Amino acid sequence: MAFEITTEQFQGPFDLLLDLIEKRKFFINEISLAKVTDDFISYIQTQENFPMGESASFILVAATLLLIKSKSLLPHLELTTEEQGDMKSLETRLAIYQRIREAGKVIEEKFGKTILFAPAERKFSETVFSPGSITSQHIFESVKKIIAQIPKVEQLPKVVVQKVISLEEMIERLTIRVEKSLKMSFRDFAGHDKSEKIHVIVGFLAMLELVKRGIIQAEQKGSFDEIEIESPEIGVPRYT
Amino acid sequence: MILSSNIEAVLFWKGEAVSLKDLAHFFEIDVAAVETALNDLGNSLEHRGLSLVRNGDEVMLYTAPEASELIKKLTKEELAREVSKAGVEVLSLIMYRGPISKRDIDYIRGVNSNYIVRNLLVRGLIERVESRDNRSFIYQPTFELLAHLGISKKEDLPEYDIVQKDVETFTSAQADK
Repeated sequence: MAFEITTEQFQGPFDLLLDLIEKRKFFINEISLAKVTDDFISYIQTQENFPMGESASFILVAATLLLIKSKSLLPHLELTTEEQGDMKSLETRLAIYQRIREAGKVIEEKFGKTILFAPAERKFSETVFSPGSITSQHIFESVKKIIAQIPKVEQLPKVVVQKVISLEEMIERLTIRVEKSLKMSFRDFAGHDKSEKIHVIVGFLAMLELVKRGIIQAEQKGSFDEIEIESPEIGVPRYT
Repeated sequence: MILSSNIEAVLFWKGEAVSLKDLAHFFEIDVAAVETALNDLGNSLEHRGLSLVRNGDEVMLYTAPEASELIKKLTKEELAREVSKAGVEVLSLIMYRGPISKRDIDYIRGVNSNYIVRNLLVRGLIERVESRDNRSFIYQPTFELLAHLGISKKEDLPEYDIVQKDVETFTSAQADK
């Protein structure tokens, strides 16, 4: 049975090896190691862009795995003491790695969840200059003196200018009306006869704004003449 | 005032890690007496706003785990949460097996861990100290790491003792073969 493992990124040879063993629900021993050897080696072969340092560690493990597999197939294979040591230590290292990787799940889970906080930075400033006989009474007297010296603020009369109509509202009204009649005089728009002066002013500003935006065109033949407003294109405002 | 309260006052005022040796020296008692007093202090801080964090031979007062959310709201610090998969492996090695040399980290992970170790050092989650017997460096958790895990000491990690025992068993099994 072969296991497809091509997409996952492994954190090292043991990470891969342990995945291969755990996916088959094996325990770590020489038999299981011999069985996953082929999968391990085929994984390395599919990885083309291995960084140099990483590939060295993978190959080192692959070599030991091959030894284990060879020994399982050929029990009479002569091994050096160093090779035997490598085989034994691989098993032990993998077992420890497995335990630590498992314990790591807790670390990952807990990390940053319930943080204990160290004291915030404090500044201890020592009083360097303090005349001896300060009492709260002294401080009270001084404060009273200072308050007496504070210049009185003169109340300036204020006139509240009421918000009658906003420029935006006026622009909208103007747009609608210009579109309606295509051509109208400013006097008609602003309702000069019946409305307040403020209406006329805001209306004029609104008209200027619309001219600026290119939504309407305005024309005045002579000083104090009627201002003719017209829309070059109906309903298509141009935002420049 | 009793000793544990005095130690609490000193730790509060210091606001940083203080070694047991320094406490012993300051109070003119032996380290064992400091240990006992710290134990008392730790117990009396249960269900309170503070917790006593122990990292190796040093202790420091932190806010309690229960207050974590509260302080999180107050702090404007960016609280980085993510650690890479490889980073978690190295952190657990250092938590469960630390202090540990980089050689042993590489040995158990089967791959060079230089980059990850450096990264964790820069983030202040682990620290490098000189080992006592030979002149190599060993790595151990920082207070910051314990605080980020929300534990008072590394022994508070789940299955801490079992992991120790298991690893010992694996190691001695190899020696027996």
